Amino acid sequence: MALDEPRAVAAEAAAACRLTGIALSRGGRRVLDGLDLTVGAAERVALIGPNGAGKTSLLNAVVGLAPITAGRVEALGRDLSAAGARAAVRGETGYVFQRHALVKRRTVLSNVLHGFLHRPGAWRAWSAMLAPEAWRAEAMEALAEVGLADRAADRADRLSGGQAQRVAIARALVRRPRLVIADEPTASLDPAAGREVMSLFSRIVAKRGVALLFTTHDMADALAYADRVVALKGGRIVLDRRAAEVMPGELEAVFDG
Amino acid sequence: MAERRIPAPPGRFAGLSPLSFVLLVAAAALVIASLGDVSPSPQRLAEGGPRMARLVGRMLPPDLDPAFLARIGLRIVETLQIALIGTLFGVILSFPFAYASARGVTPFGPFAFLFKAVVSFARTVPDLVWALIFVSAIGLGAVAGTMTIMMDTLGFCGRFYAEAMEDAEEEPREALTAFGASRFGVLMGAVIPDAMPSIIATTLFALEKAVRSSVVLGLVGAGGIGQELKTAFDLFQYEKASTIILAIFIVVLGMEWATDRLRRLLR
Repeated sequence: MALDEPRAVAAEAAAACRLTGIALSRGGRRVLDGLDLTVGAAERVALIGPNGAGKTSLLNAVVGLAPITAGRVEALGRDLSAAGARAAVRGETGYVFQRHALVKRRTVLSNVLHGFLHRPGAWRAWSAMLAPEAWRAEAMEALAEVGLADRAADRADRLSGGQAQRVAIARALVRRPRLVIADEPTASLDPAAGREVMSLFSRIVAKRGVALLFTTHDMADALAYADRVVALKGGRIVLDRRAAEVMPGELEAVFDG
Repeated sequence: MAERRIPAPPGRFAGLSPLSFVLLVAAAALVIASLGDVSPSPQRLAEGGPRMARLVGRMLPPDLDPAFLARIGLRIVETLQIALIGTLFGVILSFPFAYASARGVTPFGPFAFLFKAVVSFARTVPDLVWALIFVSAIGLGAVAGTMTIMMDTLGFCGRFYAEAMEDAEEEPREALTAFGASRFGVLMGAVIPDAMPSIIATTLFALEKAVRSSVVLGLVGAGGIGQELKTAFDLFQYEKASTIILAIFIVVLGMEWATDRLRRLLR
């Protein structure tokens, strides 16, 4: 798909997000502790680390879903502390969740249209019945991209786990995001479905030249589908490497001790 | 290997604290005292039996005069209209109240309890009391009945719609919020679709309930078949009363059958 929207100034295009010294607490516990991370404009970054390392909090911090207690978050060229920045950033971000988070009783097409809920006239994205023809066409295009255009009229709860996650990807992509965030997108899938979803996801993201920041517990996924691997532990970054340069056993070592 | 000793089982009444024992005894005392005060004595029952039989005797045969049946038919239609329109208005009113009072959905944060309180109030005031209020406020007739059913439905649907909304799946809601959807967008996109089966079931129950209560509203002058029943009893026209009671029985049974079928269809 052509990048038909004019991309903003070059300086901003250099990074999809830039986190500087961010700290975040939840329930009195420090989840993130003075963390710096920059994700390039078309870079695919895998976040790994043991449970409770702060991976999900980091993802949420990027779009302002989790309030930070210190530091600075810049996403898509905007400082998130500025007024209205969060809404603007969320409007250009796609989010894919651990469990697909589709509305089960609605059709596949309606679910993809939910990707438009940030737009003006959002009420027309409540359901496929209300959506304007142009939105429906865009949603069908996104569904075709994940290979599910023929399931558009089916209810979401009739899909398999892998198919549902592909619909969730279409819902994220229909927003024409510049940054896609995915929280363990394959965690609820069996290994074969997980690989299929991840390879499709990573291929589309690369083709569109969009930045991708995803968390995973699968080291093979991290190495196969990311340009760069970042390991978190205790709220800090303990490893940051190009995927091609990761030594055997290096990632597993993050989980030891 | 260390010898493992099995501890003795807990005592039989270990779960019963002194406080719960006292409460239990107090409850038993209350039941026994009330039995003596208000339950029918054997003597009253013995006298009541023949009188009941005499009454039933005077009710038979039911009055089947065509002109009377036609009037009853019209009153039944009015009763159903009261139930239907009252439920409709009540349902329309329930949605905003449910939205405003449902935990995790409401845009009013800590003030949500105010809306919940209004719904509770509508529910805890009995329908006959609402009917008395509306008859005094807007006069005798079907409109007072419709208003009564509306308040009754608000108390019922307002609560259960809110619960259905609270129980809607968390993940799609979070997803849509992350996408920048407004609260209302999340409600319409994720919460309502998920709560819909429960909302429909609640609405059908409300309709059933409305038919049952619209039947008695006439007793206090709020329209419908109840008015005829009261007149028949007041004038000792027991044969007419039995016809009306039979008609009510058929209507309520028919309504329950119809909503049952609908529920099964919609499952």
